[in-house]
Amino acid sequence: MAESHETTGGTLQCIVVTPETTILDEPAEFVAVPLYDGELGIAAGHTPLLGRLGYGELRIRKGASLQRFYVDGGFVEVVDDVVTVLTNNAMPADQVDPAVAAERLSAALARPAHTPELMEIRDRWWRSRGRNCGSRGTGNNGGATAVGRPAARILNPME
Amino acid sequence: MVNPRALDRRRRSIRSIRKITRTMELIATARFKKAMDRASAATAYTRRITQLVAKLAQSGLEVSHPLLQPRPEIKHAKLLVITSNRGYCGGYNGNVVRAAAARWNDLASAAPKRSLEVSGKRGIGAFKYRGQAADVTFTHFEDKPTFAEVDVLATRYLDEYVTGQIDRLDVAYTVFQSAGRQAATVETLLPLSSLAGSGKPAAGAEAHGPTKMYEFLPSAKSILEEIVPTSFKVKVFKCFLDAAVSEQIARMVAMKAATENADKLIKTLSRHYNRARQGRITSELLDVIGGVEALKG
Repeated sequence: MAESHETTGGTLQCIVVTPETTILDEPAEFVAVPLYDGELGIAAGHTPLLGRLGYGELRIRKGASLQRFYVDGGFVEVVDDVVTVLTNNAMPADQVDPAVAAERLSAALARPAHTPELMEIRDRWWRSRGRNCGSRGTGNNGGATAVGRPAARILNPME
Repeated sequence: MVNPRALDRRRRSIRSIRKITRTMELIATARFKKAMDRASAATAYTRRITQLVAKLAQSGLEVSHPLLQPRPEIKHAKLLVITSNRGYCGGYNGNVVRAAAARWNDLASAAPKRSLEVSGKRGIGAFKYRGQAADVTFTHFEDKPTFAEVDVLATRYLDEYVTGQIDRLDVAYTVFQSAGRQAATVETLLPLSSLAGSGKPAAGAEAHGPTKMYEFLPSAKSILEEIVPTSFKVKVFKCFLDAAVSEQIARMVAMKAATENADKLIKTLSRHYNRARQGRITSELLDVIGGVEALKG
């Protein structure tokens, strides 16, 4: 890996895309993404990779600065030192509201889960319990309540 | 003889109508540009998802997922109709409602149970008028639908489909083909007919030059499990974005036509008014001259 570090100058390009817009497109030295089954660190010269994201904290380090986002599912692609994060939802970690997240968690746990499908749905609710927060609380939607975003802290014990 | 003052009053009222339609046209133009920007920003995500599917297909994975399989028996069909909250946009809502009503009648023979969901006040009113009130209605989708809002809806449909509460989902909306062309269509979104990009796996590969060997984490199958619902959500989101853009275009065109008609009407009325005014002056003049002649005599 030493050679590739030199050839690429040791930097990555990190792109974060949500269905609405491209949130971030800047160089980084190290990116940590929450994969479905655990966290993955990516530095320059990483092998091409397609990964499924879980929910948790996305960290992007460049020099001394560290950017943190909460991401909720999606995919990550690494190729040629470009890290592309495709996610439904990416929100700066400091906008996360723990109180609303906790409330959503208890609501999710109260849902029925006596079949595998329902269980999957409940887990998804649980995972996405922070959705919609910080944005408009206008009008409801199709059956779900507007809710807050989970605290990355609760989700990410490794911090 | 026509009263010139009445003509002038009409002309004035048409002038103020023209002012309103002209303003609405300008507003629609501005909103259209914004909606268009949002729609094109959203294509970045769709494009990447498409590439991802292409890469998955390349890895030799068989694309199969419950959401992709048509159900043998359709017990419950759902129709979602996307219209606007406001009028003054020409045939925009009428076309969607007509297309939706036709599909709704078709569904009657295809499925024993149907349910109707309508977004937008105009559509809600139109279906009520037709004697078919919607089961669920939304009015919170304006000209800037957000993914979070659509996601709630899409997730509910997914949940209902997975748990067997619905077997088919159709969406009636106005598809945006180009700035000059939009058409009301009805699409079947569940079961998903195809994954974006799976039809042409070679296109993405060639663009990338030599094929890269990808590592799949945790596995290609797991990624597929996630990508199918995502693909569905993005499709629903695109429906709403398309509808928003098309609405603004329709309003722009309708208001432009209204402004032009007002111009034409003002011109005609001005002509009539001038003629009437002239006629009145002439007749008054004749009166005066006639009087003078009579006095002389």
